[in-house]
Amino acid sequence: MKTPSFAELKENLKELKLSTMAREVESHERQARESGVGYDDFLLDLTIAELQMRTEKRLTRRIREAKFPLLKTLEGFDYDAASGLDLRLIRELSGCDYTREGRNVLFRGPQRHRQDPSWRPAWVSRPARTTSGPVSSAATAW
Amino acid sequence: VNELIEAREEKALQRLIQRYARYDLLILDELGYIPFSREGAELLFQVLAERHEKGSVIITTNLGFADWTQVFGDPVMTAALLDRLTHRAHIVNCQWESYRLKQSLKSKEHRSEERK
Repeated sequence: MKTPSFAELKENLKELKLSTMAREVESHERQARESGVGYDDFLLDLTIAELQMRTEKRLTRRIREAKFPLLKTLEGFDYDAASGLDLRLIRELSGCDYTREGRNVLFRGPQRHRQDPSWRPAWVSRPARTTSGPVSSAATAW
Repeated sequence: VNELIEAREEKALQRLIQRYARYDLLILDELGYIPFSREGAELLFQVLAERHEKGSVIITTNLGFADWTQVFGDPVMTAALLDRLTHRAHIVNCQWESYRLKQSLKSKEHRSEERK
């Protein structure tokens, strides 16, 4: 392929939002020619590169949007410090099937002391609560 | 929850609740650690109601089930919430001692040994 057609090809790929393919098409084409890879494998490799980059970017974007205060991974978790943890369940959850099934996960830590005032909401001691709209609307929403 | 209260004031609440309903997974970390206002609790009810059986929720909490009412206020609503949250839910019990506490005790020990 001559250089001018590469330029047009790259423009087209960019317009099709295939930026990784646009960036890598030239080097892939050269490699394919040198190693004698066929058109089908050349195109396959190029699409794989595009898809991989998209998966990576999606993951990075989602992690950023989630605004985790700290990034911790299951791989970095100290399982030795978590005696009694149901490892079979953790392994099952790590497959994320529960999100596809719309199921919830509840992690229950040791209870704080009931008398500890630090977590008690300010309005609990209030004797009478005013009736309010949101409660009834939430009730019908259930 | 604060965002929900602010949105209510800006009349953008419904949109925000819909946004929270769309996520595949919503994580409520340390539920009950910082108490909600009554309004905040009601709004969180609504978000969780929208998500019920549509999207997953992960909750980490030190609350026993009996203590949820104290954080959410209305016992009937709390019972309804718990009933739905725990329906088909995976429950992971984490009853070991605090990792952070253990770490700091360990480093304190280490320091005092160095001093000897």
